[in-house]
Amino acid sequence: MPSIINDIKVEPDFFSFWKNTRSDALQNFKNKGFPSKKNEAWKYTSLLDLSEDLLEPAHRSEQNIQAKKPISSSFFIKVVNGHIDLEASVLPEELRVLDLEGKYKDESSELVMKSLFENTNKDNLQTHIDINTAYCNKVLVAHIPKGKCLEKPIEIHYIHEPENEYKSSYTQLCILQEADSHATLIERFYGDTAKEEKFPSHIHNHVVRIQLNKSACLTHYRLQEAPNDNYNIYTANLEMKDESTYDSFTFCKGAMLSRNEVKVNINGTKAHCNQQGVTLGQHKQHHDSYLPVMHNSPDSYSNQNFRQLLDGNSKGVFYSSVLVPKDSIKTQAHQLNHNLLISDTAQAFTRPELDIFTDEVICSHGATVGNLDVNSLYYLQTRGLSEDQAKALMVESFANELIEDVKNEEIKDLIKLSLTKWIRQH
Amino acid sequence: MLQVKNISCLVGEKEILKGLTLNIKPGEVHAIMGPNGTGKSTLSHLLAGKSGYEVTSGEILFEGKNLLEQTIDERAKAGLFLGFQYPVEIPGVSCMNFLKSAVNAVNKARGKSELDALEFLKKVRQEAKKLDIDDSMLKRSVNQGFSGGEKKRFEVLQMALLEPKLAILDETDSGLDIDSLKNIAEEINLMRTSERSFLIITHYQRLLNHIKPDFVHILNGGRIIASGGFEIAEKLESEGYKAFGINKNGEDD
Repeated sequence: MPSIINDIKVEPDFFSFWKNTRSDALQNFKNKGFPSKKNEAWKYTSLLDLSEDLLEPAHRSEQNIQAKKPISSSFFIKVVNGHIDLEASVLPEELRVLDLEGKYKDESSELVMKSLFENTNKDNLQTHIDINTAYCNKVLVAHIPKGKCLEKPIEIHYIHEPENEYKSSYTQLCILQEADSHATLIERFYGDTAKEEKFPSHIHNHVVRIQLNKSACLTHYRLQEAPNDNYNIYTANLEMKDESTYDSFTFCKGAMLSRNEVKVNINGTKAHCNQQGVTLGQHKQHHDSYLPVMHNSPDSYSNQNFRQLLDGNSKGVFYSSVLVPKDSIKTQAHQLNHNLLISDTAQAFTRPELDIFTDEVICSHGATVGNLDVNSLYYLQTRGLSEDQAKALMVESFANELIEDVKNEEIKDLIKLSLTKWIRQH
Repeated sequence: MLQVKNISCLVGEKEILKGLTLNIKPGEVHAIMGPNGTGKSTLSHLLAGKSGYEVTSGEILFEGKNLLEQTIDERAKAGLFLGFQYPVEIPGVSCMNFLKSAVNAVNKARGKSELDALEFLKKVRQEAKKLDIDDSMLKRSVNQGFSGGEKKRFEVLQMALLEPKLAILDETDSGLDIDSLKNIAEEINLMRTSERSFLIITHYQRLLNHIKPDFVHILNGGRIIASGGFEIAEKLESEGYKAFGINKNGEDD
């Protein structure tokens, strides 16, 4: 049994524990409701107008929606409207589907799930975790053993298929990586819009819990291209131990409203957390990235570098809050957010906050918000590029400066292709 | 090739060009000299199509067509090139991507086929070598972090690749050391043909020593006050603007 699990007091019956947790979570949500703007973490995004009817879980789809082609040689998991399609999936032996209704037992996964749940569910402000806890029936649980290096990435496709009724899908992913293990995770979100216009037509509430033990390494790609009548609510909790590495890239393009919340607890020295991302907004889209990082141990590193390209009446939020407590000397923390407003009516809210309570740290934070530079456009046009071509080149280059950092070439190409399509629409 | 006929132009509320006339035929090299603030750069940007310039009288024909009716990129595609006095830095746009986009846009408009990646790379390297521009510079963003000299050499590289009919070089010699000046002059001389014309805007004779212009004009107060051959540049170098009745504030005596 892996070391971490030995310390956990195991309930005699996981399902009775879960049943109670679930009912508590539902009660919590009923008491608190959706977060209001008085909650700093939700200052720029409101869900208060959402009807509770929408929160009911979607049914298993009768149709057989085709998944996009996964990248070459990856483990592949297909999830449609929150339901895992095992027949269409190829799971690695380290990944299991845990049924939270107790239809079958899987003690190992139950222990992993419970340990991560207890480690990461301490923040009682996370309403969406409560809703997810209340309604999610199946959890993908990955337990990567000590020293194991997963040669192939785990690629999960969350697909939305429109239904007659407007409902929500709930998914959960738990990853426990033991010491010295290595893995790559790819999460993709896409699907079709509903024929009948209703906003939102669907909410996807996805919760991710990750624990990286000593020297574990996770590379995480997230391509959010959900249908433009969906809400995409993503809440991740990450705990990092000594010398662990987390490297992520988020490409956020879809959904009428998206929330990308990744809470990082660095509980180990020499841990290295690198988060990057590009967000594209158009029409009335609203994208919100909330990225708190707690450097609870000395001598650790975090870097956040995000860019937003906003067109039409879209809004983009970057709210990063990095905490360096009193004893966390030798911390390195960097935050950077550049925003390009393509239209006069797009809005960017940027808040790279650093709270430092100790000396001997190297920290930086910066943000820019600007339009396309008229002198640059003029310069490009004098070289024969039309105004549209000049704008496209500048927009593409602005995003590509970060996209070039994506190490997986296939993912990089997918993102670039998606970016090019987006630019051509304008 | 270029006929500027009695052109007057406002920038904001200020009249900068006041009845300027200039005629450039194919294959000719013209130089315009003049004190600061007399309208040299205004003329170059007006020809290139920059917004914010209001023509109040006169007309400009390029290859017989009304230049002022054309958009900026249409002018470039028609064969007009402006080498900037202050080339613009464009973070994120790599030099190679920029050059390829520009060359393809211009070639397409001229009915030429697009160069494939390998052909393009070969051509760029060939031209870059002549100007002492190495590969590492081309991997950077357009003009970002370039020295003054590098920026000007990159302007000339663009000119060489875009093969214009008329190249306007606005103080291309400023910020250049002696060797770079020679390099650039050699490249310009190599590009001189009976079809291609140049309009060189400069303060100094030193560039003109390497590129012997056919005509030299003195611009002052928004119009050309003297025209002639290379002897005009020599006179200016030895006697200063006073020889042309211009005081040090750029005003006519």
